[in-house]
Amino acid sequence: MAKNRNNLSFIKEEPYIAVNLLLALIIAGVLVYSLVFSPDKGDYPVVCVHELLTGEPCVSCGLSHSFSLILRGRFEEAFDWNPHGIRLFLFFSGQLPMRILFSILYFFLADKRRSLVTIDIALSLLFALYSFWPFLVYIYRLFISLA
Amino acid sequence: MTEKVRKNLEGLGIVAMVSAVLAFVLAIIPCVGVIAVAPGVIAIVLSLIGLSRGDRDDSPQGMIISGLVIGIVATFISLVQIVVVAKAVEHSGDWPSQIEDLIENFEDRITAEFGDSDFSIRIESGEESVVIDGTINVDNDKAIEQLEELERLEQSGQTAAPDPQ
Repeated sequence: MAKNRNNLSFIKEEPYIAVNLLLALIIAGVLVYSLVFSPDKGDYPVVCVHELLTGEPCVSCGLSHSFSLILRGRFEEAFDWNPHGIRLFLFFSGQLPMRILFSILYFFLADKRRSLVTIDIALSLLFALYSFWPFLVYIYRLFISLA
Repeated sequence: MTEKVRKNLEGLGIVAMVSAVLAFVLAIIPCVGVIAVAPGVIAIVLSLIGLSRGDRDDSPQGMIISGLVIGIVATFISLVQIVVVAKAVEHSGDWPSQIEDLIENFEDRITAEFGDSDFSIRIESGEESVVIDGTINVDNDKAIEQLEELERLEQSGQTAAPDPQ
Protein backbone atom coordinates (compact mmCIF):
# COMPACT_ATOMS: atom_id res chain seq x y z
CA MET A 1 0.00 0.00 0.00
CA ALA A 2 2.79 2.38 1.01
CA LYS A 3 4.71 1.39 -2.13
CA ASN A 4 1.68 2.16 -4.30
CA ARG A 5 1.37 5.56 -2.64
CA ASN A 6 5.06 6.21 -3.38
CA ASN A 7 4.53 5.28 -7.04
CA LEU A 8 1.55 7.64 -7.28
CA SER A 9 3.46 10.52 -5.72
CA PHE A 10 6.31 9.81 -8.16
CA ILE A 11 3.87 10.24 -11.06
CA LYS A 12 2.68 13.53 -9.55
CA GLU A 13 6.20 14.81 -8.96
CA GLU A 14 7.64 13.88 -12.35
CA PRO A 15 6.15 16.04 -15.13
CA TYR A 16 7.58 13.70 -17.81
CA ILE A 17 5.57 10.76 -16.45
CA ALA A 18 2.43 12.88 -16.07
CA VAL A 19 2.71 14.14 -19.68
CA ASN A 20 3.32 10.59 -20.91
CA LEU A 21 0.28 9.24 -19.12
CA LEU A 22 -1.96 12.07 -20.35
CA LEU A 23 -0.78 11.53 -23.94
CA ALA A 24 -1.34 7.78 -23.55
CA LEU A 25 -4.89 8.53 -22.42
CA ILE A 26 -5.52 10.77 -25.45
CA ILE A 27 -4.13 8.10 -27.83
CA ALA A 28 -6.25 5.45 -26.13
CA GLY A 29 -9.22 7.78 -26.68
CA VAL A 30 -8.47 7.92 -30.42
CA LEU A 31 -8.35 4.12 -30.58
CA VAL A 32 -11.58 3.74 -28.57
CA TYR A 33 -13.26 6.30 -30.87
CA SER A 34 -12.23 4.21 -33.88
CA LEU A 35 -13.51 1.07 -32.21
CA VAL A 36 -16.85 2.47 -31.02
CA PHE A 37 -18.00 3.98 -34.33
CA SER A 38 -18.86 1.52 -37.07
CA PRO A 39 -17.29 1.97 -40.52
CA ASP A 40 -20.37 0.36 -42.08
CA LYS A 41 -22.77 2.89 -40.55
CA GLY A 42 -20.38 5.82 -41.09
CA ASP A 43 -21.92 7.80 -38.22
CA TYR A 44 -18.72 9.60 -37.22
CA PRO A 45 -19.25 12.88 -35.38
CA VAL A 46 -16.05 14.46 -36.78
CA VAL A 47 -16.52 15.98 -40.24
CA CYS A 48 -13.86 17.42 -42.50
CA VAL A 49 -13.97 21.20 -42.19
CA HIS A 50 -12.17 21.62 -45.55
CA GLU A 51 -14.69 19.45 -47.40
CA LEU A 52 -17.60 21.11 -45.62
CA LEU A 53 -16.53 24.62 -46.60
CA THR A 54 -14.85 24.10 -49.97
CA GLY A 55 -16.56 20.94 -51.24
CA GLU A 56 -13.15 19.43 -51.99
CA PRO A 57 -11.94 16.39 -50.00
CA CYS A 58 -8.54 16.84 -48.35
CA VAL A 59 -5.62 14.46 -47.86
CA SER A 60 -6.88 13.32 -44.45
CA CYS A 61 -10.49 12.62 -45.47
CA GLY A 62 -11.56 9.06 -44.63
CA LEU A 63 -9.13 8.64 -41.73
CA SER A 64 -11.88 7.77 -39.21
CA HIS A 65 -13.20 5.07 -41.54
CA SER A 66 -9.67 3.87 -42.20
CA PHE A 67 -8.81 3.57 -38.47
CA SER A 68 -12.07 1.73 -37.72
CA LEU A 69 -11.47 -0.69 -40.58
CA ILE A 70 -7.86 -1.34 -39.49
CA LEU A 71 -9.06 -2.17 -35.96
CA ARG A 72 -11.47 -4.68 -37.54
CA GLY A 73 -8.73 -6.23 -39.67
CA ARG A 74 -10.11 -4.95 -43.00
CA PHE A 75 -6.83 -3.49 -44.27
CA GLU A 76 -7.62 -3.28 -47.99
CA GLU A 77 -10.80 -1.32 -47.37
CA ALA A 78 -8.87 0.87 -44.92
CA PHE A 79 -6.33 1.63 -47.66
CA ASP A 80 -9.15 2.48 -50.07
CA TRP A 81 -10.67 4.97 -47.60
CA ASN A 82 -7.34 6.69 -46.99
CA PRO A 83 -3.99 5.41 -48.34
CA HIS A 84 -2.12 7.13 -45.47
CA GLY A 85 -4.40 5.68 -42.77
CA ILE A 86 -2.25 2.62 -42.06
CA ARG A 87 0.99 4.54 -41.40
CA LEU A 88 -0.87 7.05 -39.23
CA PHE A 89 -2.54 4.24 -37.33
CA LEU A 90 0.91 2.72 -36.77
CA PHE A 91 2.02 6.04 -35.27
CA PHE A 92 -0.86 6.20 -32.78
CA SER A 93 -0.84 2.52 -31.89
CA GLY A 94 2.98 2.65 -31.59
CA GLN A 95 2.96 5.76 -29.40
CA LEU A 96 0.70 4.13 -26.83
CA PRO A 97 3.20 1.39 -25.79
CA MET A 98 6.05 3.90 -26.25
CA ARG A 99 4.55 6.27 -23.67
CA ILE A 100 4.14 3.41 -21.19
CA LEU A 101 7.57 1.88 -21.92
CA PHE A 102 9.44 5.19 -21.59
CA SER A 103 7.59 5.97 -18.35
CA ILE A 104 8.65 2.62 -16.89
CA LEU A 105 12.25 3.11 -18.05
CA TYR A 106 12.24 6.64 -16.60
CA PHE A 107 11.07 5.22 -13.28
CA PHE A 108 13.77 2.55 -13.07
CA LEU A 109 16.76 4.18 -14.81
CA ALA A 110 17.15 7.20 -12.55
CA ASP A 111 20.71 7.97 -13.70
CA LYS A 112 19.87 7.96 -17.42
CA ARG A 113 16.74 10.08 -17.41
CA ARG A 114 18.13 12.95 -19.46
CA SER A 115 19.32 10.71 -22.29
CA LEU A 116 16.08 8.72 -22.08
CA VAL A 117 13.99 11.86 -22.67
CA THR A 118 16.28 12.88 -25.56
CA ILE A 119 15.92 9.43 -27.17
CA ASP A 120 12.14 9.59 -26.69
CA ILE A 121 11.86 13.02 -28.33
CA ALA A 122 14.12 12.01 -31.24
CA LEU A 123 12.31 8.72 -31.88
CA SER A 124 8.86 10.30 -31.61
CA LEU A 125 9.86 13.12 -33.98
CA LEU A 126 11.19 10.69 -36.59
CA PHE A 127 8.12 8.49 -36.22
CA ALA A 128 5.83 11.52 -36.54
CA LEU A 129 7.72 12.83 -39.59
CA TYR A 130 7.37 9.47 -41.34
CA SER A 131 3.69 9.08 -40.43
CA PHE A 132 2.53 12.63 -41.08
CA TRP A 133 4.75 13.36 -44.09
CA PRO A 134 1.92 13.43 -46.71
CA PHE A 135 -0.06 15.79 -44.48
CA LEU A 136 2.96 18.03 -43.92
CA VAL A 137 3.48 18.22 -47.68
CA TYR A 138 -0.21 19.09 -48.14
CA ILE A 139 0.01 21.86 -45.52
CA TYR A 140 3.24 23.15 -47.08
CA ARG A 141 1.41 23.41 -50.43
CA LEU A 142 -1.43 25.28 -48.72
CA PHE A 143 1.12 27.64 -47.22
CA ILE A 144 2.78 28.18 -50.62
CA SER A 145 -0.63 28.85 -52.18
CA LEU A 146 -1.03 31.77 -49.76
CA ALA A 147 2.26 33.36 -50.78
CA MET B 1 10.99 29.67 -4.90
CA THR B 2 8.55 27.92 -2.56
CA GLU B 3 7.59 24.30 -3.06
CA LYS B 4 3.97 25.32 -3.75
CA VAL B 5 4.90 27.75 -6.53
CA ARG B 6 7.19 25.15 -8.03
CA LYS B 7 4.41 22.55 -8.05
CA ASN B 8 1.99 25.04 -9.62
CA LEU B 9 4.51 25.78 -12.35
CA GLU B 10 5.02 22.08 -12.99
CA GLY B 11 1.26 21.63 -13.29
CA LEU B 12 1.05 24.55 -15.72
CA GLY B 13 3.93 23.09 -17.70
CA ILE B 14 2.25 19.68 -17.94
CA VAL B 15 -1.09 21.11 -19.14
CA ALA B 16 0.67 23.48 -21.57
CA MET B 17 2.79 20.66 -22.99
CA VAL B 18 -0.16 18.26 -23.45
CA SER B 19 -2.29 21.02 -25.02
CA ALA B 20 0.58 21.93 -27.33
CA VAL B 21 1.16 18.32 -28.47
CA LEU B 22 -2.59 17.84 -28.96
CA ALA B 23 -2.77 21.10 -30.94
CA PHE B 24 0.20 20.06 -33.09
CA VAL B 25 -1.26 16.63 -33.91
CA LEU B 26 -4.65 18.22 -34.75
CA ALA B 27 -3.00 20.99 -36.78
CA ILE B 28 -1.19 18.61 -39.12
CA ILE B 29 -4.36 16.62 -39.86
CA PRO B 30 -6.04 18.89 -42.44
CA CYS B 31 -9.59 17.66 -41.70
CA VAL B 32 -9.45 19.04 -38.15
CA GLY B 33 -6.56 21.47 -38.59
CA VAL B 34 -8.68 24.58 -38.20
CA ILE B 35 -9.84 23.61 -34.68
CA ALA B 36 -6.25 23.17 -33.48
CA VAL B 37 -6.11 26.90 -32.89
CA ALA B 38 -8.06 26.40 -29.61
CA PRO B 39 -5.65 24.04 -27.80
CA GLY B 40 -2.77 25.95 -29.44
CA VAL B 41 -3.85 29.25 -27.90
CA ILE B 42 -4.45 27.52 -24.53
CA ALA B 43 -0.91 26.14 -24.64
CA ILE B 44 0.56 29.56 -25.49
CA VAL B 45 -1.40 31.36 -22.75
CA LEU B 46 -0.51 28.77 -20.08
CA SER B 47 3.13 28.80 -21.11
CA LEU B 48 3.27 32.60 -20.95
CA ILE B 49 1.66 32.56 -17.49
CA GLY B 50 4.20 29.94 -16.41
CA LEU B 51 7.11 31.94 -17.80
CA SER B 52 5.94 35.17 -16.15
CA ARG B 53 5.54 33.48 -12.75
CA GLY B 54 8.77 31.52 -12.67
CA ASP B 55 12.09 33.13 -11.84
CA ARG B 56 15.10 32.54 -14.01
CA ASP B 57 17.30 30.57 -11.62
CA ASP B 58 15.27 27.86 -10.01
CA SER B 59 12.13 27.03 -11.93
CA PRO B 60 11.13 24.05 -14.09
CA GLN B 61 10.89 26.04 -17.32
CA GLY B 62 11.99 23.38 -19.82
CA MET B 63 8.52 21.96 -20.29
CA ILE B 64 6.89 25.41 -20.31
CA ILE B 65 9.24 26.66 -23.05
CA SER B 66 8.69 23.44 -25.07
CA GLY B 67 4.92 23.89 -24.69
CA LEU B 68 5.20 27.50 -25.85
CA VAL B 69 7.27 26.65 -28.94
CA ILE B 70 5.10 23.69 -30.00
CA GLY B 71 1.95 25.73 -29.26
CA ILE B 72 3.12 28.62 -31.45
CA VAL B 73 4.02 26.27 -34.34
CA ALA B 74 0.68 24.43 -34.05
CA THR B 75 -1.32 27.68 -33.92
CA PHE B 76 0.56 29.03 -36.94
CA ILE B 77 -0.18 25.86 -38.97
CA SER B 78 -3.82 26.02 -37.91
CA LEU B 79 -4.09 29.72 -38.84
CA VAL B 80 -2.63 28.99 -42.30
CA GLN B 81 -5.42 26.46 -42.85
CA ILE B 82 -8.07 28.87 -41.57
CA VAL B 83 -6.87 31.56 -44.00
CA VAL B 84 -6.80 29.06 -46.91
CA VAL B 85 -10.33 27.83 -46.16
CA ALA B 86 -11.59 31.42 -45.78
CA LYS B 87 -10.02 32.37 -49.13
CA ALA B 88 -11.50 29.30 -50.83
CA VAL B 89 -14.96 30.15 -49.51
CA GLU B 90 -14.52 33.79 -50.58
CA HIS B 91 -13.37 32.83 -54.09
CA SER B 92 -16.19 30.38 -54.57
CA GLY B 93 -18.52 33.43 -54.81
CA ASP B 94 -22.15 32.55 -55.45
CA TRP B 95 -21.63 29.63 -57.85
CA PRO B 96 -23.28 27.12 -55.47
CA SER B 97 -26.55 29.12 -55.55
CA GLN B 98 -26.24 29.55 -59.34
CA ILE B 99 -25.99 25.77 -59.75
CA GLU B 100 -28.95 25.34 -57.39
CA ASP B 101 -31.04 27.72 -59.52
CA LEU B 102 -29.93 25.93 -62.68
CA ILE B 103 -31.02 22.56 -61.30
CA GLU B 104 -34.40 23.95 -60.16
CA ASN B 105 -35.05 25.48 -63.60
CA PHE B 106 -34.00 22.22 -65.22
CA GLU B 107 -36.42 20.27 -62.99
CA ASP B 108 -39.28 22.63 -63.94
CA ARG B 109 -38.56 22.24 -67.66
CA ILE B 110 -38.39 18.43 -67.45
CA THR B 111 -41.61 18.38 -65.41
CA ALA B 112 -43.37 20.55 -67.98
CA GLU B 113 -42.14 18.60 -71.00
CA PHE B 114 -41.71 14.98 -69.99
CA GLY B 115 -43.50 14.30 -66.70
CA ASP B 116 -41.95 11.40 -64.75
CA SER B 117 -38.26 11.36 -65.64
CA ASP B 118 -34.78 10.52 -64.53
CA PHE B 119 -32.27 13.25 -65.28
CA SER B 120 -28.53 13.71 -65.17
CA ILE B 121 -26.64 17.02 -65.12
CA ARG B 122 -22.91 17.08 -65.85
CA ILE B 123 -20.88 20.14 -64.86
CA GLU B 124 -17.37 20.37 -66.29
CA SER B 125 -14.52 22.64 -65.24
CA GLY B 126 -11.24 21.91 -67.01
CA GLU B 127 -10.45 18.22 -66.45
CA GLU B 128 -12.79 17.89 -63.48
CA SER B 129 -16.47 17.11 -63.72
CA VAL B 130 -19.43 16.57 -61.41
CA VAL B 131 -22.53 14.55 -62.30
CA ILE B 132 -25.84 15.17 -60.50
CA ASP B 133 -28.50 12.49 -60.97
CA GLY B 134 -32.14 12.91 -59.98
CA THR B 135 -35.70 11.66 -60.49
CA ILE B 136 -38.91 13.67 -60.93
CA ASN B 137 -42.33 12.13 -60.28
CA VAL B 138 -45.08 14.55 -61.29
CA ASP B 139 -47.95 12.07 -61.06
CA ASN B 140 -47.53 11.30 -57.38
CA ASP B 141 -50.57 13.40 -56.41
CA LYS B 142 -52.69 11.82 -59.12
CA ALA B 143 -51.65 8.31 -58.05
CA ILE B 144 -52.47 9.09 -54.41
CA GLU B 145 -55.91 10.42 -55.43
CA GLN B 146 -56.61 7.22 -57.39
CA LEU B 147 -55.55 5.05 -54.44
CA GLU B 148 -57.77 7.04 -52.07
CA GLU B 149 -60.68 6.70 -54.49
CA LEU B 150 -60.15 2.91 -54.68
CA GLU B 151 -59.99 2.72 -50.89
CA ARG B 152 -63.29 4.62 -50.58
CA LEU B 153 -64.95 2.33 -53.13
CA GLU B 154 -63.69 -0.76 -51.32
CA GLN B 155 -64.99 0.49 -47.97
CA SER B 156 -68.43 1.20 -49.44
CA GLY B 157 -68.52 -2.24 -51.17
CA GLN B 158 -68.55 -0.76 -54.65
CA THR B 159 -65.40 -2.41 -55.90
CA ALA B 160 -65.01 -2.75 -59.61
CA ALA B 161 -66.48 -5.88 -61.16
CA PRO B 162 -63.97 -8.74 -61.41
CA ASP B 163 -62.44 -9.50 -64.76
CA PRO B 164 -64.41 -12.45 -66.31
CA GLN B 165 -61.17 -14.07 -67.47
